[in-house]
Amino acid sequence: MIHYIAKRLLGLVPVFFGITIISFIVIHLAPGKPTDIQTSLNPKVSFEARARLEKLYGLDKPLRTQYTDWLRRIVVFDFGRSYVDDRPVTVKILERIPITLLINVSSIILILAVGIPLGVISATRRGSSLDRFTTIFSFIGFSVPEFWLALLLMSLFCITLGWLPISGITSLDFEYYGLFAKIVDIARHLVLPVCISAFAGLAGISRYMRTSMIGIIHQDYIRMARAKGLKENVIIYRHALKNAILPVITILGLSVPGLIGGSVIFESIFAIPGMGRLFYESVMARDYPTIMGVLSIGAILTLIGNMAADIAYSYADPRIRISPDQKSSI
Amino acid sequence: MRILLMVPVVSFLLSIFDPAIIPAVEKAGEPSYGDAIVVASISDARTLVPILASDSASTDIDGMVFNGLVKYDRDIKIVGDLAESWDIREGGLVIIFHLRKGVRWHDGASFTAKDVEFTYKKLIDPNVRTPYSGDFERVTKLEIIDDHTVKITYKEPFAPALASWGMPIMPEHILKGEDLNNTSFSRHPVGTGPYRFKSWKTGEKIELVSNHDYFEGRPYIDRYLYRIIPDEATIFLELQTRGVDMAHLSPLQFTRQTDNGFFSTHYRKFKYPSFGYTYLGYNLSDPKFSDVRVRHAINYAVNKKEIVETVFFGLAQGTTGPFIIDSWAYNRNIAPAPFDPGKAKKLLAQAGWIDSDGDGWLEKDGRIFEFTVLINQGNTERQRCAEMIQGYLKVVGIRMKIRVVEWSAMINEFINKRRFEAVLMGWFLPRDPDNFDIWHSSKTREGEFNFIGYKNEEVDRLLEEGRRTFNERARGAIYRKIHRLIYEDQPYMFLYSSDTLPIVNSRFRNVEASPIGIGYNFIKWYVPKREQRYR
Repeated sequence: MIHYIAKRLLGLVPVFFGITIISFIVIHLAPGKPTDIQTSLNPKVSFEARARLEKLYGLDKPLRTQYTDWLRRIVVFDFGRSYVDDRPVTVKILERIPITLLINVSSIILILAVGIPLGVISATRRGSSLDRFTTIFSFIGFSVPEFWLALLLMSLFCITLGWLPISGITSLDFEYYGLFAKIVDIARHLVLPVCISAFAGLAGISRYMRTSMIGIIHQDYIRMARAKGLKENVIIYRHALKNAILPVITILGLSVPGLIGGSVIFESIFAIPGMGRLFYESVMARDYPTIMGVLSIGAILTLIGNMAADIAYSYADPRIRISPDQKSSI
Repeated sequence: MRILLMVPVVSFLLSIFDPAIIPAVEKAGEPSYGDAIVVASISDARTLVPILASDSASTDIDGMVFNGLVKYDRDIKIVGDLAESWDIREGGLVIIFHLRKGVRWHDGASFTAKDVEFTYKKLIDPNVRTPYSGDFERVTKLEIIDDHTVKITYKEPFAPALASWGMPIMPEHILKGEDLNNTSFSRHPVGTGPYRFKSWKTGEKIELVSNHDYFEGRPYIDRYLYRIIPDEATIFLELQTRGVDMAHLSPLQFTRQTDNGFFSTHYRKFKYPSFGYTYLGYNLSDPKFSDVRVRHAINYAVNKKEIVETVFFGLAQGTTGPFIIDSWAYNRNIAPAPFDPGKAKKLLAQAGWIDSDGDGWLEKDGRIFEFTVLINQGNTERQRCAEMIQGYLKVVGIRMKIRVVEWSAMINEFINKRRFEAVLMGWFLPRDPDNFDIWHSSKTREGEFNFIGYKNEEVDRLLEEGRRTFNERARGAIYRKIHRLIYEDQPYMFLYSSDTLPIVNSRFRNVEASPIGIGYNFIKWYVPKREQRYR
């Protein structure tokens, strides 16, 4: 098993560098320079001042040199300094991660806690009115634009009913609160963002769960279990669920990079300083070091997430563990 | 004298929208200290080192924390800030600033001439990433006469020089030996201004607290909270729960969405002209636009009044020239060309553009009159404006296409490289009218601002004269002449200058509209004790 993991890990290294080369080229292909926002079309900025700025940022060097410079630092996990405010990229990313993780982890927990039972129930009571309701609900969940739903719910819960705060993650007098009040305050601010970010995912997971469960409960061994006289709950939750949950593990693995990636629209609406906004703002400012930093972390997490899913698979399904080399054909 | 008319107009508007608030102001009583103001901003600050800051959020904050030697008062006149007074000698070659005595930095150290010298040296230091070096490269030397007197000598008389000393002054004793490009000061600034920096949570909020020791007196409002809310719809929802005290409205929000009982009891709305204008610029090296009759024809064909009414609900003003409306440089005697498609067609026919095959489009030498206008992404007002122009030009037989491009790409790939036929853009203008960089024929290199390739020797000469002339009357006459010449040449079709539309919670008193806006007397704003909301 350890041998298998080590082999997989080694295989990730070239893939990672491939990703960084492609990202590096693509972001530099986009027209514009990091100095644009600071200087372009500002009548108070002289021509000479702008040329000077470009030299100070090292933008006059050839692209290959810029990439090797970047690579040399990345080996020791130094992502460089942002062109926007000259702070280390690592610091900029780290200060955004806690809130992004908090929202995404809570939303995934919510998705699993609600989505799996929902999928199982609608599979076991296929065709019932509950099943039909969840079907409709999932289609709505897939198709409703997040920002629109967010604005509607904000209008209802925050303005009409006045139960929840609209945006941000803390109240303005937050620093004067006690510990308990602080926790309540943050929780109140996060109710809407978490529910809304869970909404679309919920629809997805419950559908996957339902399909996979339907496939399982018609298998022979389930009929066998029934014939043995096992209780229905034991059959479903102990025997069928373990197999039906396999595809869900894959999806969870794929959602690992999503844990630190936020949505810019969503974070903008709720005024949450998360990773989505950081990335979007960096792209807009052509802040190459920050863009590369976020992309690299995303790449690493995607690769690790895929690998973790494989490993979780091999745990749940011994056939994969036995012949790892054939895995790619699955 | 439209400046003087402005204030009555605003209060008239307020009395329509805000009947409840006027009596409240009268019984307000004594100003009292305390409370906080929550200001909403779309974007976060980038760096608070004032000579590096160029975005609006950073300059907003720096404006509260720092002072320049001079500043603009409510009527856009230069007055002393850290300088008490100044003498201009030798025909403008020398400026001597007499600095205010007894001013302290937020850490208690005294402000002296050394700080001015330090700031100047950093502005011209080639290793500092400041975009503002241009105006200061003209200084030949800066001498400290004594602790509170600075003598600045220029290579040649430069009229915008005085205003350029509105640049925030930085503390030498803290920044000496620091690399300004990379200093913790950018997130913990120390200034002389009415507010001290307290904290900055990236992407969330910046908090300032009042400076009790401020040289113009302690500000009444204790805390200044700058909340970053990147979505305009959310800002508007926050206004509805009074989570935000001050924000900027869109024309639609100003006229329609805040026109109700809730907003008239809890908020006051203000409007005043912004310091900028929007225009349609032609690439003058394009043969279609090199004929001045064609440019005049387009000016006649477009109904600017209707654009202002439709796109801005009337909350903008038509403009005829490259200066701030209501400033002393703006020529009010220029009558805007009337909307007259008939005359436009006649002018186009004179220029050889005739619809010879009856398909509705004009032709010349067998080619249809067709051009593409570039607009930057994300500016819906400009986009709507372009669509309206498209409609007007269709009537006279010109086919206009619209291409929306992301900002950076537009500047680098099209504007700087001159690969455009026409462009719909705006200028945000400094208060000083000198716009040499935009109109002088020498400013046409790649990346310079005369990208349309405008050249008029008379205008060139006047622009040079304008920046050498210190007397405001004489200078005003020069700029008004430039205004006329440019309007006659029509290198741009001048469209409109939109209004700035701030909204402020009505618990704040002493808020007044003036030509420069509402923020100029911020330290005098207060909330009566019983209406205070925050500690």
